[in-house]
Amino acid sequence: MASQSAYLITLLIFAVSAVTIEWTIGYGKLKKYIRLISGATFILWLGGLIGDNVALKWGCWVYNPERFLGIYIFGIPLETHFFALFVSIAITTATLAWSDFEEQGRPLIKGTFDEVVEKLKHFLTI
Amino acid sequence: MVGKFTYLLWLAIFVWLPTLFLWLTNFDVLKRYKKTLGFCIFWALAFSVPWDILAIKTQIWSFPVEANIGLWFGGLPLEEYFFIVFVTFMVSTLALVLKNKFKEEKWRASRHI
Repeated sequence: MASQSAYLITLLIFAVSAVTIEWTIGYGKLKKYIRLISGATFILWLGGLIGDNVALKWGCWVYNPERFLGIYIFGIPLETHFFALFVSIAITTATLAWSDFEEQGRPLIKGTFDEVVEKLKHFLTI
Repeated sequence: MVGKFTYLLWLAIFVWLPTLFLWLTNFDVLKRYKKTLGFCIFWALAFSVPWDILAIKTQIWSFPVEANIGLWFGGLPLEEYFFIVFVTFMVSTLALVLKNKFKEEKWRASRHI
């Protein structure tokens, strides 16, 4: 993975995949939260933008210029914007889905498992 | 910035303070979601620790030794585990606060308050 797309590839593996799985399984129940997730993601992206700029200036972490595309937006690499967006979406989506279970008194592990099985059955019958 | 406490100071300003504010102003709502918060943190660790380790091994990013306290576990500084746990906690907290604000608004709108 010794290339300029390395950061992007790890994003696809760990963050984009998580969001894709969440929305494939739970689209029907999650679509009512699209506005909420968009709002939370915007706030978190803005916070991430400021936080990452400060972290880089203070030397909390350092990006290797040989491992990302080299495109900077507002002082941080393009991939970091994607990081903030996809990680925020992944966490807010999971939070909202599991909080629905908790409000309904459904067990979280079994509830998630049931949703996955239901979706798989749906796909297999198509 | 402040030597070995730089990353900790960053966490305090950008993660712990906003989270504390959200909890102090919404404690009654947030305390109902302990399992959700725990689950989110568990899964965040399951995804992010391997991602972080891979990123270090492939030299995508690194953590300068002079900015953290020097406790390393599995190739990551202690502060990075704090980052994963507390950033997830903050994001989940914000989502739960917004969810309840939206609910409240809908309820008020339905009653024309």
